[in-house]
Order: sequence, then C-alpha cells, then structure tokens
Amino acid sequence: MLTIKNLHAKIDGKEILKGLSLTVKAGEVHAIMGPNGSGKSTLASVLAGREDYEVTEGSIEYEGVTKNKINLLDLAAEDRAREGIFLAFQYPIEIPGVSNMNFLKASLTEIRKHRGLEPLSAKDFLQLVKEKAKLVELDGQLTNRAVNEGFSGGEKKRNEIFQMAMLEPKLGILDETDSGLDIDALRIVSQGVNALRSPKRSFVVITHYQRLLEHIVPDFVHVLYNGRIVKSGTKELALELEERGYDWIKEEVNA
Amino acid sequence: MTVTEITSKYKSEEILKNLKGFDSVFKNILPESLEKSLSILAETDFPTTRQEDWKYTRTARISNEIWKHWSFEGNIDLSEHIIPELDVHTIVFNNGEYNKKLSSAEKPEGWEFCTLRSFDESMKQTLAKVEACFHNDKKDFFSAFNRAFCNDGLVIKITKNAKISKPIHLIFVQQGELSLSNTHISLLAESGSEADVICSYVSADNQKAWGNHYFKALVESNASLNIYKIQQESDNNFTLAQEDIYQEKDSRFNIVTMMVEGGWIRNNLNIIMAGQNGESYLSGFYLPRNKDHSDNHTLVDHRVPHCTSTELYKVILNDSSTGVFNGKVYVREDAQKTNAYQTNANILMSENAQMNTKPELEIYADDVKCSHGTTTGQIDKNALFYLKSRGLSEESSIRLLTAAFINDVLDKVTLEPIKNHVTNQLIKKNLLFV
Repeated sequence: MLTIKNLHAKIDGKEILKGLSLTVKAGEVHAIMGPNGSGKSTLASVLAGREDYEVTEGSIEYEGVTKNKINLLDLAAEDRAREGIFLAFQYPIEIPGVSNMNFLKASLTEIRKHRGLEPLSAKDFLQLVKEKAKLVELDGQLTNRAVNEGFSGGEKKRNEIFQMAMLEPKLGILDETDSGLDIDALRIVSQGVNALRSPKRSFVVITHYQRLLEHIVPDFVHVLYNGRIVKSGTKELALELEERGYDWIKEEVNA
Repeated sequence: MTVTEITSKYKSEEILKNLKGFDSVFKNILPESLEKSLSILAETDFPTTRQEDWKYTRTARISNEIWKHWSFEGNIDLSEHIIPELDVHTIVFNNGEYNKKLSSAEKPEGWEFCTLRSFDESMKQTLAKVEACFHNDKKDFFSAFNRAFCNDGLVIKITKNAKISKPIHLIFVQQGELSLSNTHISLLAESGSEADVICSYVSADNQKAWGNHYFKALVESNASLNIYKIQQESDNNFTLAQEDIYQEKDSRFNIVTMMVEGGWIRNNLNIIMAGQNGESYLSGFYLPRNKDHSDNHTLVDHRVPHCTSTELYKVILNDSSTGVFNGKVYVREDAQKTNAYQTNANILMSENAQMNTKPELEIYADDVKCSHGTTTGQIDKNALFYLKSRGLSEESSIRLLTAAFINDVLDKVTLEPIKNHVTNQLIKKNLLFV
C-alpha cells in the first residue's frame, strides 16, 4: 500500500532523511524505532505533507481510497488526508475556540465528499461519535469542548485515536503516540488502535520505547538511524533494542 | 426623493460654504453648542496625517468627494439585519433621518425617547445631563461637523431601576450615491437600570456613503449598559462612529464592536470612569479585506479609585487591507487601586496587509494593576497544518481558525441571538467557518 523509495528530506537546510526506503502492505503494522534525532518525526511529517520539510530526492507511492497509484509527494496535506492518510500527532495542537465536534464534522464531511458520500445527518454523526469515543474511553464532555483545550496529555492522545476512528483512514501514522502516557492511558490508546486493525488498513507506529509494542504488536520492526532504515526485523528486534539499547546498531552501521 | 447638493473638496471651508443652507437639528435644541461647532469648523480642517490621532488614517478620500443629503421615502429591505429570535424595539435612521415606518410602533417599556427632529421638551433635562458629562475643549473637526450638520438623532432615558427586557435596536442605513448622514444619540441610563442597545450600521445598496455617528451615554450609579455594535456596511463606506461614555459609581458598561464589512472605518471609544467601583469592558474584532481600512481608537480615563477596565481587540487583516489600534489608558493621580487591562492581537494574512498598533498607558497613581499586550503575527502554521491533516481545505482551515481567534470577543456578547446572527453574517461573507 505504501512504497517509500530512497527518501531524502531536509528542513532549514539540514538533511534529516538520507535515503529512507520502506514498504508497507495492506493490513500490516510496521513499527519504526530509533534514537533521538534519527528522523522519526520527520518521516511522519513528510508522509502527512507538512510543508516545512523539503523532499530533495526519492518517491512515495501510495494506494489511496479513490486512486490506486498515487505519487504522494504530489498531493497537498488535505488531499492526502482525503485519500486516507491519518497522522496522530506527537504533540496534538490545542485550538481554543474551535469545537471538537464542529471540527470533526467538517473533517468527516470533506473526507466523505471525496469518497462520493453524502455528509452524515446530525443524528448519525452523534451516533458515530458516541460509538468511536467508547473505543478510547473518551468522555462525552471532552468531545463537547474545544479541540484539545485543557486536555491532559493522555486525553490529547486518546483524542487523536478517537479522530482516527471517526475518519477511518487507510494508513494510520502514529507519531510517538506513547510519549508522555501513563500505563492506563497507554492501555486505552493501544486498545483503540487495535480495534481499528483490519486487513485493509495499515499502521506505521513510530515509537522510542518498546513497551507500546507489547500492546500494539507489530508485524515488522525497523530501526531508523541517521535518516535511514538500517535494520528490519520482527517484534523480537524490539525486545533486543529494549535490552541492548541502540549503541550496537550504531556500531554496526558505522563499521 | 429630494437631493441637496453638498460639495466637499480638499478644504472644509468649501463644505461650510456649500452647507450654509442646511439647518442642523440642534439649531433649536442646543443653539449655543451649534454656534460653537460652527466656529470650530471655521478654524479647523479635516485632520491630516500630521496629527497624532490621525497618523495612520487618511481623510483625503472623504474630503475629495461631493457628498449629498438624500431623503428616501420608499421601503428598504432590512431583513438581513433583523436579528432572528430576538424581540427588540427597532428604531431606523435612513441617511440620518428617522424612519417611522420602518421603526417599531409600540410604546417602549421602562424607557422613553424622542427624536431630535421632533424634540420633546420633557427630554430637555435628560439631554442636558448627558451633554454636561463631556467637555469638548479639543477643537475636533469631525464632532463639530456632526453637530453642525446633524440630520437627526435620539434622546433616550432608561428609567431608574428599570430592567429593559427588549433590547433597543438602532439601525443606521445609508443609501444613494455619495450620501452623507450625521446622527447623534444621547442616552441616560438612570441609577439601577439595565439595558441592551444594538447599533447596526448598514448599507442598502453598496453605494459610496459617508456617515458620522455619535453616541453619548451617561451611565448613572449602579446602572448597567451593553452596546453591541455591528458594522456591516460596504467596502464603499466611510464611517466615523464614536461613543462617549461617562460612568458613575458602581456602574457597568460593556461594548462589543464587531466589524463584518466596511470600507473606511474609524471608531472612537472614549470612556470616563468617574465613579468608584465602575467596570468597563471594551472588546472588538475587525476583519478587513481587499483595500479596507479599519481604525479603532480607544481611551479609558480612570479618574477615581477602584475601577476596572478590560480591553480585548482582535484583528485579522487580509489582502491589502490596513488596520489601526490605538488604546489609551489614563490613570490619574488619585485613581488608586485601578485595574486596567488591555490586549490587542493581530494576524496578518498576506504580505500586503499592514497593522499599526499602539498601546498608550499614562499612569500617575502608584498603587494600580495595569497591563497591556499587543502581538502581531501570522496565522498559526501548526494549527493550520493540524486542520489540513484532517482533510480540511486551506480556506476552511483559515476560516475555522478565524472563528477560534475571535471567539473570546464574541463571547462578550451575552445575548445568544446577537452572537448567532453575527456569526451567520460572517459565515455568509466567507470570513468564518464553524
């Protein structure tokens, strides 16, 4: 579903991704781990279409909702979202004054429109909200507030997964969703993601720590170091990293 | 339909010459004040950018035109400006003249009024009380012009301890090519009274028009007055709308200035805190586009101790529009324990937009809490990206963020129907998205 070939990207003149390649098939969960500064968040941002990053080389081919072969780099952020890409932010933005519900309704309407679907009636929308909010144990009160305003860290991350559940993407990119979460929040967020796993949906789970992967068990684990994927394996690789850290990988690469 | 030609070219002396035939409505009501205004006009001119208060706002486009007094007798469609789900008492001014047909016929409850053209002698004392609050030592061209060529206006008295259930909705309509209107409202809110006034400034036909509107209010002890000012004219309008408010002790005043549409706007808001424990709330938003120019000048004069004034102005400038915010706060030597807060936040949406903002605090008392903050920047790119990453287009995202940005100002409108009405007007103009 997603084929990244030799991706080079820079920001503020500094090259962060230096030839990253990755293939994700439908239904797969790929975990991306790596030391700080390796380019994990850059990868997430570039996939979602943040304009601050300049792609200097490489390609990203994506199988979207309406079109089979999309050159993702040609699409603006909003079009990528409409084609089924969802980025769960590491630091979700607070937008005081914008109601969570109104924002989601507008977003869902856009995405449905792109797929040739009519907007949901108010009743059906509320029904969907109720259903999806349950997946991440998000209180009705929170959905009525402004986007992320006054939300705790855990609530913000749950709100991201709630949005993902509402928008039903083809590719979910979780950018360090586990950062700042306590055990309970981690459990709830993971349960939400797991509820969304399906043969037609893929996930790229970016994380620094292995513990998330106990809850969201990946099909593949990749190590991102110095802007490239330097090692790939299965979930055992994650356990090895947990035990040994990243130094041995760095040594292997530099050798 | 009658037309009286007024020529206005370059210098105000020419205006005086050509307006000699026109009888200001103040001729029989306040003849001395009128005389004073006429003599001021003989000595002053349209302000130039060399005057500090007019540094960023040019008057040439007004002084270069030939303005006319138009009297229309027909019907105007004001349906767009009627506020749904709000029962109000409506008073309409068409090109500065009271339009009885379009105004509410019923007798007001808890308050009374008369127009200036049909002045009721029983309102003489009310008018005098309000006038006495404001001493115009400054030789101000526009206010002298307003007095000298005033078409009509109102004297309103909100009765002592009356809680007005129906807001008073004043609608100032302008129509006809190059029409000129001058109006003057004097309002006395007697002790303990509570009233809401809505002032809508609208254009019937998007023609070039010039309006000078003055609103003076005396808010007596323990009284509460809300003014909701909706500016929805056209990009062809030149409007100067000034409020002068005098607050006695324990009174509460709240004004929300909302610019939906307008060409050249200059709002002057002057508040005198003359009684202890007074509270004043000044808020506003303006969203100029294309070549609009929006200027909000405010002045809060803390003359006595223990008063609080809170100012919140939000501006989003699009295209090549320009804006001005000038917020003066004077805290006089005896005004101890004053709380004066001022916030002005501005967003520039394009490289060609320009904002001039100047907080001015002169504090002479030593035991006060005063703050001012002004920020000017661009739209939050992170917030914009967040919304786009959820599938919203750039335009929708900007409009949603606009709604978020002015939300706290809109919250100062305590009457929900007015808030909804303004929000809907902004949505219609593609400025907002909720």
